Amino acid sequence: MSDWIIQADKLEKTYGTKVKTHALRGVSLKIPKGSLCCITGPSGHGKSTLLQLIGGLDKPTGGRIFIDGSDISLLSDNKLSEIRGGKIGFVFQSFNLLENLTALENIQTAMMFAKTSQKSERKRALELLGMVDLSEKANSKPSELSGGQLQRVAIARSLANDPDILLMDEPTGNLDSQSEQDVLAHIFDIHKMGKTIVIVTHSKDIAGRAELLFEIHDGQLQNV
Amino acid sequence: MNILKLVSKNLLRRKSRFIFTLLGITIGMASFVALLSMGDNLRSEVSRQADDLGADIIVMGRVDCPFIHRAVLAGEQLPESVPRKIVGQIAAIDGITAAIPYLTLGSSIQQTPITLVGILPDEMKSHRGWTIKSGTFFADEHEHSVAIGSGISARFDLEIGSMLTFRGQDFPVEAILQETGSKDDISVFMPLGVAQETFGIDDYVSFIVVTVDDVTHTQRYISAIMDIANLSVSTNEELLSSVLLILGSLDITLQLIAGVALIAAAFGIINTMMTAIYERRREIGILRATGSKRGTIFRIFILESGLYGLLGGLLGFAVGFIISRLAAPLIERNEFVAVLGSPDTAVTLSASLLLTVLGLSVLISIVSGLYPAWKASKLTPMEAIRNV
Repeated sequence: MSDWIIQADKLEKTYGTKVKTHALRGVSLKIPKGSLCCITGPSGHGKSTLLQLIGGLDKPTGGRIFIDGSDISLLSDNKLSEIRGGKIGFVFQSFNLLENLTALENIQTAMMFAKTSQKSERKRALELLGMVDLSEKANSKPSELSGGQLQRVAIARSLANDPDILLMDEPTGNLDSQSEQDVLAHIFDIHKMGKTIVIVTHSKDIAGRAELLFEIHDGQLQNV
Repeated sequence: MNILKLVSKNLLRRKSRFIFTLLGITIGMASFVALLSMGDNLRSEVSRQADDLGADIIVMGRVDCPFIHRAVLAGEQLPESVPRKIVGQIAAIDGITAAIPYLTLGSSIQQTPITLVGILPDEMKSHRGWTIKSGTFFADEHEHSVAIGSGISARFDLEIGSMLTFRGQDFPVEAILQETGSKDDISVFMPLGVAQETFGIDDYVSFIVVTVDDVTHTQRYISAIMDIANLSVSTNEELLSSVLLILGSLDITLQLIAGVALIAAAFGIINTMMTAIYERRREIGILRATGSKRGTIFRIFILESGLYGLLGGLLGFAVGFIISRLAAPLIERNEFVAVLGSPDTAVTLSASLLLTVLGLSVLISIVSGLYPAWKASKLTPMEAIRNV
């Protein structure tokens, strides 16, 4: 087993058929297990695309991605789903919670396919809500929560299946400064649990605390 | 959390759309239940009437059409066009066991239309296997009285000795028949000669019911009867098929109406599901990002369509049943249906009908959901999340 939990080798991503947009141009990187890594760079230069490829949300047009030593760039859609459901947790800038479900149910939904019993699913979801200090909001719907609370529910959801890797796309991008600090405190706590965290961010504060920092310009990576 | 819980929450998310889509399939299934049951009930009623008549051969006037056949089966008013004198000649044919004349006349009691039947008392009693509930059956063919079916007795509150007036003449009720479950229960019977005299009819009857000792030789008997008189002669089966033929065309009409209603409901479901997919792209993306496979997304949408079918089927069955109960009296008053002669067009509740309705409803809904579910499952996580 490699010490690099995430490896990208000459990753290419091109959008469009007639008019081609090169989002990534030969990106290679290695991220060690348990590290807190940040990817920064101007908007539209390929940060989120890189994160999506690492997380198996999209497929590269060239190059390879290894998660825990396994090449995921050639995996079938179903196998990628299994990896997303087990090894990787996502946190999005716009929270992406299901509006008609409560905070508790949103977390439970992520465990729906992990073949856990309803009882242990609920117990785990409550534990995770407790971890992000939202036990009292278990039965609140997203419309009843503040931005910071929504992101904390999203973080709890990303941990539902105890993944090794958490991928976060601008996790504090939509938050006020107080909420940002709350969310960051939780992210750093999670990192202390030994999780590998990759954050795409514009925030200098977050980037300054990263163990590993990459910067993307025009689809090309620079190790800072 | 399981898929069923997720699906139920999705269904109820937009309540008005849920209700209107459900109404579509409910109305479709309700028309299916009401219209098709009506066709079935009419068909079984006609078959029962043919059994009740108990004829092997029927001799009718020369006007020969399915509506006359239907009236014969139901024992309703018909023109008197068969000479009575041939009754004896037919009965004398070797192998014919009985020839029973019927003179079916339209009359009324307390302004309500009824059928009055002129009969040969002894022959009729033995052919129909009547038993007398009260009173005394006609002593001879010239008795100036009537026998009534049990339904007539109950409906008009008539007892032995009650007087009925036909063509200005009073007739005492001398016998009330035991209930038979056939048209006889709602008919009034009078000796043939007395009926002819009262209604001023020459020596003619409406039709003759013939029974034979060997049904395998029916065609031979028919030829022998046609040699005696130039009349229309048919077997009971021919009469039944002729009437069922009219019912067949009615059935097709009813099935088409029900079919159109079901197709409209199916498109309602497709429309609802396609709109739901468009609105829920982000949700599909979130589920895919958190580990849902394509098959799971497909199952979620198929389950949603199937639930529409299940609920629509249950409601459709209930509504169809209620509609048929409410509409039965109106339908039976319709000339076309009335001429087919079913006294009961309402749905009869049965487990097999319920299962058929539910099965069909769920099947239609699932088939309607296939394309939308396939479209939803084809979305990649990023397509779904990005396009919001």
